[in-house]
Amino acid sequence: MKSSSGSAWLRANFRRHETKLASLLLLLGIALAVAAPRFFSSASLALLVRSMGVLLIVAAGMLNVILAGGIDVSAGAILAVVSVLMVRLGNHGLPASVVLPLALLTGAGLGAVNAVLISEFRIPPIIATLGTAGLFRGLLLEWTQGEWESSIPAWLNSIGSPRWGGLDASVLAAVLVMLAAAWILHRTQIGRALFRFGDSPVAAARTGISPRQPIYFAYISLGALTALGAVFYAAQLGAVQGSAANGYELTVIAAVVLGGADILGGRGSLLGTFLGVLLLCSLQQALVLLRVATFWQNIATGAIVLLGVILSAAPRRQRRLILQQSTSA
Amino acid sequence: MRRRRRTRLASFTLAALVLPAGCSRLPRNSKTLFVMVPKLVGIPYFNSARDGALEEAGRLGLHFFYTGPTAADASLQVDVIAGLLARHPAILAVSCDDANALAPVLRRARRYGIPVLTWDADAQPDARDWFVSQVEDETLGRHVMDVLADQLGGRGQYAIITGSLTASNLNAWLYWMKKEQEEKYPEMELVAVVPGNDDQQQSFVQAQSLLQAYPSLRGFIGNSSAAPPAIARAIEQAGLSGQIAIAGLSTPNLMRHYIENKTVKMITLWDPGKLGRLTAAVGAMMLRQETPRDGMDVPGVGQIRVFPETHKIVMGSPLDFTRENIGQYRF
Amino acid sequence: MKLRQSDNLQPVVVTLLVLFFCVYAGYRSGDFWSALNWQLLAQPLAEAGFVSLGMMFVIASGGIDLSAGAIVGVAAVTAGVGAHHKLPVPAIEVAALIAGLLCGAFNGLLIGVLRLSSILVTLGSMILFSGIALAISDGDSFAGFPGGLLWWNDAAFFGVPLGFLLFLAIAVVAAALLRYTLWGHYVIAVGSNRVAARYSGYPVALTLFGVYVLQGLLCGLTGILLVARLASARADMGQGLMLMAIAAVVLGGAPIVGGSASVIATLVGVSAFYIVQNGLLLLDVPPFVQHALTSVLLLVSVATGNLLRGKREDQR
Repeated sequence: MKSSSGSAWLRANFRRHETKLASLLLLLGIALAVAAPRFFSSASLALLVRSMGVLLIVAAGMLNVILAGGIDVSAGAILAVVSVLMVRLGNHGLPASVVLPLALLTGAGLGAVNAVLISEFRIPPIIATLGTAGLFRGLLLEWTQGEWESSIPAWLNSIGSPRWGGLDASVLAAVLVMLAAAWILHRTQIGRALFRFGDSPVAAARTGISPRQPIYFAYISLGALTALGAVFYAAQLGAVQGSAANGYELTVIAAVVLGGADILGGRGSLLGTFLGVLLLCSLQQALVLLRVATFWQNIATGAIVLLGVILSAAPRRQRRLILQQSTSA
Repeated sequence: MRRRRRTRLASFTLAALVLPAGCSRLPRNSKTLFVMVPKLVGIPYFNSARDGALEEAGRLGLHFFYTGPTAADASLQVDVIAGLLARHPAILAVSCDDANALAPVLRRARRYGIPVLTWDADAQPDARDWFVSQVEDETLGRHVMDVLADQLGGRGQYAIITGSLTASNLNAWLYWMKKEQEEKYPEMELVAVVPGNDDQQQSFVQAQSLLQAYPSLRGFIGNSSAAPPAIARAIEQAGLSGQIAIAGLSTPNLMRHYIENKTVKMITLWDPGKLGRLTAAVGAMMLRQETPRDGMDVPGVGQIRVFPETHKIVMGSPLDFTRENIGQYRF
Repeated sequence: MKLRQSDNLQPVVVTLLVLFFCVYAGYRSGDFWSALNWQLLAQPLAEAGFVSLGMMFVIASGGIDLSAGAIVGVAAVTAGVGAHHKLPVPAIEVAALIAGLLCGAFNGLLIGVLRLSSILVTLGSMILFSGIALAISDGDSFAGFPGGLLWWNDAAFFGVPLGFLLFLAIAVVAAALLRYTLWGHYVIAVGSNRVAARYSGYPVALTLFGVYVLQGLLCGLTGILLVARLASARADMGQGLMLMAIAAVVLGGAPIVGGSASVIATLVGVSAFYIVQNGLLLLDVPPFVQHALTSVLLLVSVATGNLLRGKREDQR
């Protein structure tokens, strides 16, 4: 059911990673219970959950892209563009019912630009998204001229305000997104196409899957989900700046990969992604609670990512590297 | 197919060589070109400085050009300045990302006969002709600490969220803040100094984390314009408005909401627009071969203090923004 | 394994675009062609050039190195520590090179020997190395470097900065490595088709290890030059260089999947970026628009290169 190419061996291998991840989390939990029990206080846990919201939403989109064998380093730029646009329109008096759909459309549109470059112009995903990241970011900063928006519309503010025991709407949204994404990936044709295409574009083509469908779906969904994430990002922060989310995409990619997605495509799961996000955010919070200095936090995070990579090492197969998006027929 | 490709390339090349003939030249303005370089472009604080300088430069008949690195990165800034040297500006005014890293290229500029001013953040003294400073480092650092200590009653744990860890001027202010606390308020305890990197999100996360890590934390200092609003937001969201003291440096526009809702009592800065104006004025003076004098009155700025031995100009004293006066300021 | 990538017109396209731009910039801005301008351009170009050459080998072998900038930072702060302890200049330089080498070896071990994905390993090592650099420098910047080290920035022969000459020399060595050594051949073979290379008995692990060690060494060299130019060392010094290097190699027409490399094409790529950026600056183009335009340059060049190549399916 959660398989990609359908072989039982794959399924077993795949499950093994999530178990490894879960055990790692368990270990972390035990260590924390001993070293910093305050981690498990309701305030701390609420903060943790809130910090995961935006990351989960964007990671769900990034998972699609990685499953399809691609990569997107323009997510941070898209997030910044959408958040600035949304806040400015909102501050000009436009109501939520207009601004929110517009924001989502913008995100989807920017994602579509990536898709076009990759699918029609055959530019490798890493280069295409590198280029669009610079383009989007440069144009955004030129438009804002460096002015920050230091206030946001009231309706946006209320979205980001903590209510139910310290949690806010981002948690709800993240849960909904995860459920919807899981359903799409495992129960619909487009999801299956995504897996098949990422696994082997050649084989997928021979079974009638046109490369356009998975590519457009992946990048547009990432764009739209990034836009959704931007809503909560701005809502929580209460302000936006053009240089926001610089490098954010690397965090997202790290989370997805930690969750067991194969960087070459074709393998991955939402449960894994969720666990990856949980691991990264918990680690971050734990390090802070343990009053670890900033650079040690970097070292620890880097070490965890490497550990995750080692753990999830896929057996070498004759495959195309992630960096080339082949659109063969 | 190959021939078609070759023809395409050939015609393209031909066009490339011929087309520019129709373009006009950019005016060179070397003799009156005043180039201003901030630590980074794209944050409101520097935008205000730019606006002030632009206005004053126009008034004084200088051509104003403003550019800088897109991130507060000293190597980027050096690249930008190196690129500008070829234009041989009449005056170069730089707010340095790093006092040491900028020194070689600024020295080079002086060797080429370009007068160099530093403003807002200094370089090594022998790399510039004059340093236009907004406030004395010591005065500023001590004052901000006094503001915090006043709200804390002289005791309790506090944390500092700064900008970039390698920014020389921020570190100088930090030094005096800590000194003031050690000398006057021994019952206060500094628990952490963390970087916010001029990013509100990062500062926000840091503030939240610090609140978690140190449950007895009672005060914050935000040492760079992005930090105080983010700290205030974190405190507001944690429902601790009014229970945790916030002091630091930021602009009225960024802090207006939090000062009005009483999350923050007082925030300190100076008028960056005035600083920009002063920088342009000093630049013009240098072009006219005039030397700034201590106590002289600069139009639009006020009386300035000049220290000829260190070639330093100080614009004035720190300015505090509170509920009473924040309405007067629009930057 | 050729010095010129056959059937690849992308470096030609890029060269033409840049020439067009140079002519335009030269007309519009009187300062563009001044000797001073090009002198000042040469040094940062050389620094980026070293990293790009290393990246060329990495990409040719079918990988990517996201940690390049962080390695430069580690090397720079290592030099800073050396200067702080008043070590003799050669010792400082060697220390920086070794720091870079060790970082590269770390990558090489995980990617070459353990056969892990290069993008993921270098993502992790990027975070790790930047943390190490911060730890070494305590977040501060070093100053007070001896004149012997700063000499690297000041020295010039007939007006050409020493760093640039060194870059040209290393480029020649790189080309020789690529074309005339067995190892160079292995690098290309591994990048083209790793499984076939393995079946042909090529020492894949050793080859890859060597690639990343070389990259680490070159990043170390960049660190030394940067320190000399800025007379200071900070942990985040090499930040933008990684993306610049990848973009430069790709701009020159190298396929990102590997299997092909050309020193000349890489030189074209690096020069293109720096020359265009410099020109845009002198043309009074606002900084953010500069950023956007260079991104567009990258996208347009790659797309055009693809178009002209009539991109074949399953291209390797």
